[in-house]
Amino acid sequence: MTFVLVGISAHPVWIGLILSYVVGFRLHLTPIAGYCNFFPGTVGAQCSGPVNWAYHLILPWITFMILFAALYVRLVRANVMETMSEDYVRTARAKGASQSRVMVQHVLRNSMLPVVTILGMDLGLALGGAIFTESIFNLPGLGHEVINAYNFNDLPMITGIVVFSTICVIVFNFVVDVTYGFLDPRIRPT
Amino acid sequence: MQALEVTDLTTRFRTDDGAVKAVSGVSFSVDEGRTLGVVGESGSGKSVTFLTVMGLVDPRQSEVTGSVKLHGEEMLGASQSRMREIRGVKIGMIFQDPMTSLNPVKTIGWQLEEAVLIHQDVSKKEARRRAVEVLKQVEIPNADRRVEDYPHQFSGGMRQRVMIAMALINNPEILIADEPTTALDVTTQAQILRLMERLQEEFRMAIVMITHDLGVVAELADDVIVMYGGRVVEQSKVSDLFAKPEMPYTWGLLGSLPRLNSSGGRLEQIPGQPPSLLHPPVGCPFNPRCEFVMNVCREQLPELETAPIGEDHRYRCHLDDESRARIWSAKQAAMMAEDAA
Repeated sequence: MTFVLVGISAHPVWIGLILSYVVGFRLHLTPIAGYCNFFPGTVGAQCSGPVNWAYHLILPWITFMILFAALYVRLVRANVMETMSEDYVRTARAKGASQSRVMVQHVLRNSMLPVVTILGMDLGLALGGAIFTESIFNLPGLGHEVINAYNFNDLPMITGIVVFSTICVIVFNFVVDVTYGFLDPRIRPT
Repeated sequence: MQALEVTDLTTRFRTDDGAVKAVSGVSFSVDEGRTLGVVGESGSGKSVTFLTVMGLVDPRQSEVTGSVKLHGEEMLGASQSRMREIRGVKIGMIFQDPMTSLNPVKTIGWQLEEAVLIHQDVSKKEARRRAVEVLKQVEIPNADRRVEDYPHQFSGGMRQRVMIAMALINNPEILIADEPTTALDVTTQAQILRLMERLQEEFRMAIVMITHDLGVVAELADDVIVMYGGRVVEQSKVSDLFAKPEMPYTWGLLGSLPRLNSSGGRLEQIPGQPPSLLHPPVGCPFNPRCEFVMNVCREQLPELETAPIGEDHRYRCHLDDESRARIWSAKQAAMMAEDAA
């Protein structure tokens, strides 16, 4: 639970700077910042290739992940605990199902339903988080671009990025709604 | 022969405020092919008693002592894997609320098959065949098509039938029904009770019917135990209990039954609340609500004594034989007078 508390409370900018300082600058395990192209031999790029690409993105991934990992650990935990006390879990035990069977077959899928809903809503939050992560690690991305555009008062660019993000959120939510139907037979159209 | 024998069973739950004495020294037995009614109001310990029998109380939060014997085999302290074999095969259990007792995201067929596949090494096809067969036995129309349906596509009564089917699918020796008709409307109740009666004859099993409905007990049970404050306060044959109850709490229960031919006055009620199981009253658990309370009731728990009517009828009360007989006749006369009015 310490991880959850720290993950939710600490700002991504702070986490990013600390990681970049400790892991990148002090320990020399990863680059401090910067980006590498995924496709090998990209013209004009300083470095390229999938391995280099992943190597440069390790710290941004971790920074980006910590907040969400913490949020979702808490959410899944709460949902699993709630589902554990459902009557049908007791029914499963009364049938003689083992603990692992009860968890996998009866608890897990039922406790995933609310998690998937939140997942759809959190895409907007993720795009917001990307702004911080990309700024810290100097990555070329939507978040970085929107900061640049803001600094130059580039309104068409800002509008474009906002519209694009909006479309992403809408599409993702649609996907989530469809997934929801697969998970829960009660809301399937008949 | 005794299918289930429970001796001096005690269940305590550990809480932050202290130990909750949910079940205290409960003993009873159920014979093969017979039905035991377990009566008591909410919080009397009747459900916890049988959850303990099934091994379904969380061992991390509870302390269980005493003995539970299933055909002579001690079940308390049996290994987890042995208990899993017993649950669902030797003992089937039906719960109170059929609306929430089935997994909403799995089909009825899947849930019935699961009960077979956990315990028997058979093919999925064979399990499906058993599922359809048992659904037919509990009178689900179009059983071979309805196995594909999800619980939300069934009504409350149908779901309770499915629950019964699930409990019966491995031919258990004992069926424990925890208020199986409480959440159903009256006509459905009657159907479910008829069904259980028929299945009992077919499967030759012992039934434990946990209920707070004396009507259900009168209709279905052979023997009855009345529980109060986590203890058995009276046990007897059903006919004896209705003819000559020996304990003020049972009098209260019988007196508070609604009667169709009464004049429409207020229902009798037992004053006060069920006792706190965290701080149970000293002496007789019923003493704070008893209208015949004496000093001894507040100091000493009455033993389970044999009633004048015979060995099978036992009760807990400090009142002497003569007073109890007198009070019950008076109560009966009052009830009859009210019926006539």
